[in-house]
Amino acid sequence: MERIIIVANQKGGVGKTSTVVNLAAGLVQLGHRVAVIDLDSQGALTISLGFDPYTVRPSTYNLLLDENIAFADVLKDTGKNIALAPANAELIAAEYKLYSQSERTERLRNILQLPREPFDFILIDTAPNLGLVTVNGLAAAHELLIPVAANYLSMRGVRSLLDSVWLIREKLNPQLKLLGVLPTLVHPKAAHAKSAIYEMKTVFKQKVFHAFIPYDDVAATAPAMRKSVLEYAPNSAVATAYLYLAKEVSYAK
Amino acid sequence: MLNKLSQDPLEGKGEEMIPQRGLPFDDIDETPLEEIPPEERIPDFSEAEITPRATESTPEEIPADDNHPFDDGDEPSFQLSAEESEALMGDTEGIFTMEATPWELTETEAEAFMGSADEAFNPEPEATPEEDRSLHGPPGEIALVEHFAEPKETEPDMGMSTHLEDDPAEIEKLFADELAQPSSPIPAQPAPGIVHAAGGVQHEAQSAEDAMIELLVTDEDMLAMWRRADQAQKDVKRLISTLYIARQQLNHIQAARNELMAGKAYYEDAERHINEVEFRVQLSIQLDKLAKTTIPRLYVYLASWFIITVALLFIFGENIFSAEGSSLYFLAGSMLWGGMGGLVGALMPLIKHFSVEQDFAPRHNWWYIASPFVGSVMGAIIYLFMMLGSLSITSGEVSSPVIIYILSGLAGYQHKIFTNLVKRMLKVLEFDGQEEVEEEVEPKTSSG
Ligand SMILES: Nc1ncnc2c1ncn2[C@@H]1O[C@H](COP(=O)(O)OP(=O)(O)OP(=O)(O)O)[C@@H](O)[C@H]1O
Ligand SMILES: [Mg+2]
Repeated sequence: MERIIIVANQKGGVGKTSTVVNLAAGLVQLGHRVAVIDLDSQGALTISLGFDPYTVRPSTYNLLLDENIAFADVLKDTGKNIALAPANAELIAAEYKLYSQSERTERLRNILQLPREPFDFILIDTAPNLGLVTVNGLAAAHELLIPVAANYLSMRGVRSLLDSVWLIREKLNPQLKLLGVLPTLVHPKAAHAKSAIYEMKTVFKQKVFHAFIPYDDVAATAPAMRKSVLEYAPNSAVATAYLYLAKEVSYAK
Repeated sequence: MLNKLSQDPLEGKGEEMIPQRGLPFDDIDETPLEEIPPEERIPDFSEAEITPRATESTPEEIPADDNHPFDDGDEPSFQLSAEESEALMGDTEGIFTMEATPWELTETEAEAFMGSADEAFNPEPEATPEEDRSLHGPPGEIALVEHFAEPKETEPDMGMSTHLEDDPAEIEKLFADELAQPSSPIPAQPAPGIVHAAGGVQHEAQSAEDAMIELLVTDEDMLAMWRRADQAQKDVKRLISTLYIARQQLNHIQAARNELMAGKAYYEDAERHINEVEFRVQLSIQLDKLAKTTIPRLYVYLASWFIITVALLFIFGENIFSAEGSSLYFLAGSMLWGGMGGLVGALMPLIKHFSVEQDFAPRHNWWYIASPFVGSVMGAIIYLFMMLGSLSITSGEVSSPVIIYILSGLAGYQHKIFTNLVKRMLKVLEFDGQEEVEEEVEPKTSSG
């Protein structure tokens, strides 16, 4: 069974894109077939995997707005055994254009449901907002992975995400379940990071991944090298953590 | 806020993360996340490290004065060649490319290592000045932090949201402003609102529910609703002639417009008002048609009944009203008067629903048609009861039939009350077989 996992958090810069890239790399290492979908018009995921969001076409923009387009049409080979549905900067316009479309919230789901070759995992990266494009992702996904930066302000953002999840589950996608909450940008030594994770565990209990992503600048440098942290610094704490996360994800039912 | 944070940044047990109606998932307690075989597990550092409310080290110990130059690695314009980055990072590489995994480090080693990394790099690359200030920065260092923290074009929500989050008054003001500007007579044009949502410039302060409403109610929907309000107003003026009803409808329209101007969140309330008016207008349109067909026929029908009854009373009056008349005449009299009652009982609501309330509904036609018949039957029943002596007013002998006729007329007029009365009496007398007693209900107004 193909699993479609959306990585979402309305808070910006909490490591959504890093998580998609490195979780994808981890899952590939574990032998899975993986595709990633970039639903952020800033195209951070697309850049991290070596494509230019200003020129790449067709993109998820076409996926959301064109008639008669198949998922495979937009997939790019990244040379890392990860298939990429890239974002083009014009994706920002999709927000407006989708407004006048009839199935504006279900475009992505409908396309992914067309007959096609399955993957083991499809990971969706989202923009730090709850626009129609993000809603399309939430409607298409089976599982939700929420990266939460281990600090006070980031945790406050989780609530508005969960508010939206209520609505999404009621109106669009009752199947959407919580895969897990991933503490990111964790300063292993900082007390506030520890208590942040502790609070996450109080609320989300079993659904907080055992893996947490330490704060480490390799994570910020790797994308500039167009590499996942697993390739760029395989022995780093971040790489190990993402690999462990990949195991947790692939073992989760 | 600042003080509170620096004293105790993580008060509570994560309540901030829980929506008002709870978590949207029901399996949080039950399903464990993974079933990784123990031999594949990495020593579980998270469990070991994370202890509740550690207080020994405070957030202040993390310096907030150094911004890492590379934390924008995913910006489109950032295109370092390998050599360039080598040159840029060469000597720091060793610090952040860890050769050993931290879970293999001893506690003290890790401590020492992370300590140096923390000192070398800004621990919170995404933190805005506000965040830095409130979480880590001793007030004295604010100037320094602000100097380094440039506004980030790529993540516009960051500065905005944290800024707003920090100041409830600010949030309130924002909403107050938004509410105070009903934009224009046609509020469905608020392109700024859309830009707001679509551009990702979304305040976290704005609840997710609002954000969803933005998505689910389009500008077209708003515009269409506004037009429906206009149309409804015209229709009310054209079609509704009873003053108080027209006033009611205009109030609804005004309420709908107010809701629309208050924003998309009130779309459904506006729609409810408009629906009400449209329904009423629809009723009036229907009534216009009926005024040419069904209703005149009903009037003619009831008038015929009236004429025939009066004629019969005129012809047989002598026999019917004389105290010595035969019981057959009394029965006929009761039925005639009952019928008359039923007729009046139909005429009154007909006038009310057609001319006054203007909500006559054709589905009640048969009620109007049947009413005189039911009245007659009621008259007959009244007579029978009198004869049976159940209502022992005259103890068997009819001194004056007028009393029976008055009762029959009343019974016909209010046959609902009387059928209930009769039913009750039948119950008392345990007369279960009386099927001819009809349950009739006066037509109710169809609108509110
Ligand atoms: N574990 C980490 N340690 C240090 N820096 C990190 C880590 N993970 C991510 N970063 C850096 O933090 C920044 C934000 O990360 P990322 O782009 O993954 O977040 P995001 O949630 O996708 O952001 P956005 O909301 O803008 O899409 C990036 O510069 C990234 O390189
Ligand atoms: Mg991103």
